[in-house]
Amino acid sequence: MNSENIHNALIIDRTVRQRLKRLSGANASKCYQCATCSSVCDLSFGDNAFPRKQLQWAQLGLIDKIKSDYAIWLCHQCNDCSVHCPKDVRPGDIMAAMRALFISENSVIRTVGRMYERIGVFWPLTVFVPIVAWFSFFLATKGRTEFISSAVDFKFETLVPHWMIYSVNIPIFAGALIALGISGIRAWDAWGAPKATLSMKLTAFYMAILDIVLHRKMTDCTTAKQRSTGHFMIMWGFAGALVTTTVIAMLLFFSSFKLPLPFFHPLKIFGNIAGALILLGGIYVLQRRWSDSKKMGHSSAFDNYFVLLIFAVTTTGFGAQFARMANLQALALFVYLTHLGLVFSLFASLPFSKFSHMWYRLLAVTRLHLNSQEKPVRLPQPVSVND
Amino acid sequence: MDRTGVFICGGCGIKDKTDIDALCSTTLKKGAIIARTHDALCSADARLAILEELEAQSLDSVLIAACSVRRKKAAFSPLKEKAVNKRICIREQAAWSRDAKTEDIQSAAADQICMGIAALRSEQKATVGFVDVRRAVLVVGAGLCGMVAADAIARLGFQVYLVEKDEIPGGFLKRTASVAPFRAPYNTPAVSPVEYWSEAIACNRNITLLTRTEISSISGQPGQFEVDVGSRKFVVGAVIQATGATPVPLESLPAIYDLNCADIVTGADFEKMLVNESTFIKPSNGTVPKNVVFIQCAGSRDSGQLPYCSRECCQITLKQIHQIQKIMPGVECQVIYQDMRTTGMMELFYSATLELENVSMIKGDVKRVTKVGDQLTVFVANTVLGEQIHITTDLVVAATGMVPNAADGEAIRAIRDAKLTIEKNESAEQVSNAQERIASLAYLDTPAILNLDYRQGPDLPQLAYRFLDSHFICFPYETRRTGIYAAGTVRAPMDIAMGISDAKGAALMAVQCIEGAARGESALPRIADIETADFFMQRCTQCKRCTEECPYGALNEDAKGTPLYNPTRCRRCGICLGACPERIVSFPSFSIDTVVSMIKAPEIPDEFEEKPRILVFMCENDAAPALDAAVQQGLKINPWVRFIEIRCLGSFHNVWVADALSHGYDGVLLMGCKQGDDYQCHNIQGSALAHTRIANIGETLDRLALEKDRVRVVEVARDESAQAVQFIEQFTKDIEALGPNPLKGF
Ligand code: SF4
Ligand code: SF4
Ligand code: SF4
Ligand code: SF4
Repeated sequence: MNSENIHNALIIDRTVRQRLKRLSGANASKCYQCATCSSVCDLSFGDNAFPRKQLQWAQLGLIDKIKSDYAIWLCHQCNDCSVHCPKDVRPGDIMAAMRALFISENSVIRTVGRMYERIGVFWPLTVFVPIVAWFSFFLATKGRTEFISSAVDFKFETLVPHWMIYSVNIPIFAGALIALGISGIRAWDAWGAPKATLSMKLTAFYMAILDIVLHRKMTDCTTAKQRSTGHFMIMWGFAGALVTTTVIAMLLFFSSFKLPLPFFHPLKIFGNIAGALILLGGIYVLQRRWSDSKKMGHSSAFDNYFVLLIFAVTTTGFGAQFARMANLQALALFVYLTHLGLVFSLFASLPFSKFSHMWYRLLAVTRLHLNSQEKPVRLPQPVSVND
Repeated sequence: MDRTGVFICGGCGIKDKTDIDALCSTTLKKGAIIARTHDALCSADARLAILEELEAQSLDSVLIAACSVRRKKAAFSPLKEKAVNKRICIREQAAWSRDAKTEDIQSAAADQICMGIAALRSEQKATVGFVDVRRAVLVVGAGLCGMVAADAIARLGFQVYLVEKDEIPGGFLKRTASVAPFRAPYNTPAVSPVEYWSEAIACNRNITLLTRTEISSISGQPGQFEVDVGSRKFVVGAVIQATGATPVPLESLPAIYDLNCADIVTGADFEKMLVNESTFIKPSNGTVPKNVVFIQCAGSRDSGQLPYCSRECCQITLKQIHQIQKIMPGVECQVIYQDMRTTGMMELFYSATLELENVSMIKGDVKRVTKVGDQLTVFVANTVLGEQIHITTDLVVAATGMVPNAADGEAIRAIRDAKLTIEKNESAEQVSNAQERIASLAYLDTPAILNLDYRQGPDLPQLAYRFLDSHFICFPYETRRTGIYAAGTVRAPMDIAMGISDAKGAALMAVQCIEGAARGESALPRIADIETADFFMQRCTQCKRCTEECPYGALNEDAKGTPLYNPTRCRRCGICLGACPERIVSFPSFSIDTVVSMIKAPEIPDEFEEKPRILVFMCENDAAPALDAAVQQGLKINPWVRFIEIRCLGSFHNVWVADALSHGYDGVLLMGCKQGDDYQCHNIQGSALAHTRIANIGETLDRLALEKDRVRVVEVARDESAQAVQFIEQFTKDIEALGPNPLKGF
């Protein structure tokens, strides 16, 4: 042994294990490396020892290993491993926590990342500050009287003009997208992508989108089957809502389109169906999670924050709509402003919260397909585990 | 014995394979008074019939020809009281085992029976030598095991002298606040059991605790050991050595540890830091450590000078982690291990430890521990990941192993002898040899503990790694000195639960030994044997072979070297019989003559082609039962073979080889146990001695103009049945290739 070796040695970071424990409630230290998880996991091939090896990283606190591994993003938390692990380590939950840690470590503003990592503590800040800000913004521009005046032709547009929305929520969304993009590029680099032509990359990307849109992997699950259904609903609902919002924004911007739409307008129907899907999916997921946490996984604040936030955005959206239709003007306005605040929170959380998982997962699956274009394996063969 | 009645069993298929009437008439021809058969000799009515015949014919001896001597013991042993009785096996050794013509089976059975009759001819009736025993036990060492043993013995009504050199009892565990759990539910540290047992022994009137006391001498034999502890003298029937073990000190750690740093401590040192169950500090600067790294197997197993696993350190580490997490919950504990040896119920403790906050276990080899600023860096290779890691920490606890507190009596004796040789200064060569010997044994030159007044040295012999030699497989507490038992960590690495059961086991052995001696019976392995060895002293040449080879130190010597026999130390192994060149040692039922008569009993056919003859001597402890098992499993044995069971391969006398070959046997096979460090011989050296003796027999064979390949020694373990048959098969093939014994027919 010479001193050079010593310098190559990996450095133990004791805090990592604690952070993972906080995120997952599970203790990676209990793992005694039996590899039962690897034998049941669909993602384990050859000698890649997934997720047993990842559990060892978690145990030792090897943050650099976690940051440069895209395989953790292929795990869709089916929890087959958690059900079979003889030590009740709940590797599935630890994998989820490793992804949360990845998001935190990889975020553009690390301090904010750390804050979201501990969202269980900080959520009042990230939720209420934007809401209060929206109310203040409104009061500053419109004044308190607006709440009590009762216009005959009640429209949100007259009370909260679109420029207000454009000036706050759109920039935060744009900023969040940029931050997420940068994080994505960083992750891609850290994963050490193989050399590939642009067309190869595009093909891989297209295949990844197909995989995800169709929930190809998730429906393979046995243990956490129901989660696939809930996830499916939320994802499609969310996509629907996003499409509706974008179309309406476009129309407003480029045509003489006027809001509100009549209840039976196709766009309106589409948007409401999307909202309903989100609500139903959200209820489904949360209910399953709370009733059988072993199969469905531990409900960490990190995960719940995201689901609950979408849920709250949708509920307040519906609430504002119904209050407006019932002509409860003050209530409608109150709920609408809350809704705008929550939308801000949701956008702001994009690069830092579980929200970003769709992006990382998309990249990871792309990376996987890129790999399998090179050689016919479904997973990369990382450094062989020597035990 | 000249009025022998022969009883031949026809049951278990024997009568289908043999012609019993013909066997009966053969026995009568050989001089039996009567020959009877029965369909189940082991049945109650058969026993009655035998007893009636005993009376009616005034028989003085009975030969039972039936199943293996190891079967149906209870059915035949009542006969012992009425007459000398001998059992010969014609079921496993003839009827069941020969896959051959009826003629071959018949002759095998007849030969075995003839051997039995011949042996009985030269047997003597044994007389019981009652011994006046003292029902008291000396327990050396008042650690946990010593106290438990003392308590167990005292509760049986025996007197106990518990000798401890320290001021208070408790031994190694005396200065610990808590210990690893040793009873259910095994998930949290237990309070040290020392206090409980100290009280128990203090309250027991049968126990005399002698602290600050060491043994000056022990002489005598089981039942009547005279003990001198300086302050007083007393007599005990048996002795238990429970002197425990001592942790390896820091200084003995290998060079990979930077011992200049005060923050590396041993597990035992750390135990002292934890004893008050309050915050502990870094020895180097008095600050409170934030994290502790435990290194398992430090200086043990592959990584150091103790090649073995001390079995305790893993549990102690887990226990210390529990203590840390209780006293200072924020302190991060990491354990670096090769494998956590928490066997049995300790798995529960291991699992419970992993449930604690701030504990993690890292598999790997520690390659270096160095000081970096205020902290230590532990460099670990061969982790599960196949990569090397670096851990920075405030405190390193090196879990070192334990060395038994034992002195090697034989080495001490050898050193003493060598020193005498130097003093005598007879030849330069002798002196330099003696000096070499002293140098090679220097590490074993420690003060004696038991101070036995034995020819073989003042302490018990050791086997590997300085642990007291005990018969690991069959009789764990039995040492090589009858009536002296070893218990606890002085005989093998063990944890508290094992230590407690060990102490109780040794206690029962001690009591059994005393009671056996009172009835004139041997201790293990020939338990309940009342025969003693007879030395025909007129012919003794003081060659000292017997005193040197007796594995149990039963023979002392007077100044001239004449053997002094201690009957209750003797285990009747017969090794002295095999050793004595003057053939003066005999037992009533086992002597040079009994075996010679057996050898000569069968008639050897002249022609080699059809019927070569091979004589197998096998040890009654392992080889014979292994062969029984083989036959019971349906394996077959070559029909040319005849068997003689002896007490131990060590009791084999070379003269029997000459007798067998000159009688016309074509080959002699000796089957005994495994020898060496992991020996399985019940009498420790028996098998090894047979190897040496047979190796020296070449000369005798040369004189007879015989090939030395006609004699072979093989080693068979008790579970190697198929192997035993295989050895016989191979030997018969080789003998066939050699051709007939040229002495045949002379
Ligand atoms: S199944 Fe559980 S204990 Fe076994 S390797 Fe996986 S996480 Fe570790
Ligand atoms: S949760 Fe499922 S996909 Fe993820 S590691 Fe466990 S078994 Fe594999
Ligand atoms: S029979 Fe065995 S124990 Fe007894 S004196 Fe002879 S060698 Fe020693
Ligand atoms: S030591 Fe070997 S030869 Fe001696 S009794 Fe045991 S098995 Fe037989």
